[in-house]
Amino acid sequence: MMTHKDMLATDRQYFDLAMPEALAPLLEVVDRFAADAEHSKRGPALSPEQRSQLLERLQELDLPGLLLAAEDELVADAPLTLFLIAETLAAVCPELAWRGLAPITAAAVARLAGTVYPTSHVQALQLDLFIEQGTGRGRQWLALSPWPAPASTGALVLDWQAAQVLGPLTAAELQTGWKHETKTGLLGFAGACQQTLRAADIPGRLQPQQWTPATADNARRWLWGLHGGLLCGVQRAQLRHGMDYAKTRQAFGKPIYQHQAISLRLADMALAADASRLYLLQTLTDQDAACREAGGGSFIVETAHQLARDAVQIAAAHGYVDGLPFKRLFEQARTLAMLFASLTATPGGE
Amino acid sequence: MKLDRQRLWEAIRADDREGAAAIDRLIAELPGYVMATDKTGDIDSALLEGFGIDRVNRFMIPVEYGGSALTATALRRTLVFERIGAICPGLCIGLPGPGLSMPPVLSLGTEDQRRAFFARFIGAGRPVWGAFAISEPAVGSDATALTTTATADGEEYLINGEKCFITNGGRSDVIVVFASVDRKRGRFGIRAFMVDATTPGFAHVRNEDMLGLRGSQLAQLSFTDCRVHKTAMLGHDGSKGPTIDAFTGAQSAWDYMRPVLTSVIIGSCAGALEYAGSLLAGPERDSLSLSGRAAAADKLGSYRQRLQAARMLAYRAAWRYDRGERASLDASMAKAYASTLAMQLAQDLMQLFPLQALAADGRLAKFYRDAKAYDILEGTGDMQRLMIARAYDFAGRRTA
Repeated sequence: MMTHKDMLATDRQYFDLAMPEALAPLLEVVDRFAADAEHSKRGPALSPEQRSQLLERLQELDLPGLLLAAEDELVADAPLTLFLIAETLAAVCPELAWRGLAPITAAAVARLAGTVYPTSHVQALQLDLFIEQGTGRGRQWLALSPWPAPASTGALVLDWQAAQVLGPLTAAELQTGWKHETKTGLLGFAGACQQTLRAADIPGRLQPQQWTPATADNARRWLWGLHGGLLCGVQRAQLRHGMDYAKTRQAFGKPIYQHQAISLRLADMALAADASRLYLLQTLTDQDAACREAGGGSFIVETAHQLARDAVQIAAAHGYVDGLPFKRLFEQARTLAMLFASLTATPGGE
Repeated sequence: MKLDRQRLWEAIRADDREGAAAIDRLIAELPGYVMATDKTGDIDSALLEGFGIDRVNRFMIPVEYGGSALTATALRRTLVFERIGAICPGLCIGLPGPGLSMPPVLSLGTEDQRRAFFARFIGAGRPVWGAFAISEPAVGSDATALTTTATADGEEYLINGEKCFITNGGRSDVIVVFASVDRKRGRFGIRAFMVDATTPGFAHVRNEDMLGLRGSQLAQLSFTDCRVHKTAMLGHDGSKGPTIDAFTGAQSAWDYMRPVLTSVIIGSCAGALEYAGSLLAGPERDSLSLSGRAAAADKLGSYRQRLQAARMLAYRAAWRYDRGERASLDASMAKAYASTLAMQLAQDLMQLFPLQALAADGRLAKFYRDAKAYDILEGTGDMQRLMIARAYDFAGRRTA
């Protein structure tokens, strides 16, 4: 006769929310790094010196080496791993997480498309996502770059909604083949910029057989993992700072979290953060591509806006001005939500 | 992480083929009884006769006591009850079996008490219900302040008090009643008693006329010098009573049932979304403009994602429960999230399909009425949120 224990064992063969054991050492290292980074910040934002010091240390972790196991091979569960690392780092410093992880994602997607960059060069890659805008003036792209173009060995230019990879392009091609129309700062990310480019004359250079639907979905999983992780990390930071503020700030003789209006808002933030995180984990784990189809991210984007709005509201005027992290996180959440939305955006008109 | 629900479903069906057959029959026949149950507030006996009712009686019983493998773990219960809830949540909650009365018996009862209690449901050849009676007219969320008393009288206790909003209370064979043996001791004076529905002094006062979930029959019960032997007190071995209060048993019931209830809610939402999808694909779509159809399709898509998130919250609560971890917070989060989602969905569907929603006996109107209950029963959404907010420390880490 089967026992309760037997049935639990059966369940675990098919359903287990525990993270793969193989990830534990890596995540431990990232956790420790994040804790040190948090400790060294001494303020809501990183100074340029702190940022470069942390970037150096982040590079010492050799994340490319860990996520891109061999030159032409991707680590199993890598998008999930990328999500967890991005989340942990972004909870401390979204800029750092983006700067550290976007190039790895670019290299991974390039590998999916058949181009291998040496791991030593990966740190210099740049990942651009494109939001197509129907302007009636031909194809136009809004490129969101995590950082000003580094002294790169190349950039991966990906119109992945249309299942095309335009590139990888060389740095020279990026400079000459694209017409820069505007260039503005990127909300919440000091030093990053957005550019409006026209790319009508750049031919796609990958053959269709190199970019199959399966490849496209794999690429989507990597990008989904990166941007989902970044968003979840920012949400974790919003919740943490919201709780911290509400338990410290006093009104009418008690911490404001003891007032029900604040408690209920904090609870809703916790619910929204957990719900979107679990949804993302499920979509990264589930091999069913349908869950990442067009429109699949609208709930995540709505939740990101809700959390950003509520976190600022907890701190009221203190959340609206520089000083505490709420203003910066509000801006970063908006940018990251836009990036995430671009993964499932319906292409605009020609 | 592994999330292969389809193969898990196949595996658990293989563990209890008779139970699976009973579920299949139930799911096939339930749709024919939904509107009648909603109208009368009762489950037609024809539904409960003629198909493996003994298997249904066993659904919430631990497998070691003869229960079904289909519902032996929290995770399995989420899979089973989502499927039934998708057809009719009120019928699902109103199905025979011990329901919420099971966990207190399992966590507080002696071995003899467990065997005697669960034996009532095995092989009876008819539907057998159990009930869990804690809420009172003046005591809801603060269950520790209950006023029902149990006064020692020799070898017996006399129970006096009123209980209200008791699911399946009027049709139950046995009720687990929470009463205070010493009101000065607050929660530490609370004990749980198994009361047979034929005991003199026990009365089923009425079933409430509910807005929705009418098949589940919320009852008011009264106890007037209701005399039970001391061994009816859960944990009493005949010579001495339990040293701990029964509130932990009540908490275990909520931890046990909230992922189940969340799955019923999720099933109910999934059923409503499927129905809305069929309206959007059928002639009803003509009432919407082309842009309106696209907007409606987007909205339904967004709700499907949120529903999947709710499902994951329920799975996490069930998974933690099965691992023997503390799952109260996870269960509260799952239930609070799903119940809010259900009401929002109901409101949006009313606006998307106003003609169908106006029909008093229509599917959307019923979903709208049912959905309001989710944020109230087994702990209001407001109380769950207060608990959630308090469960985080200064660093935003969970402490529960």
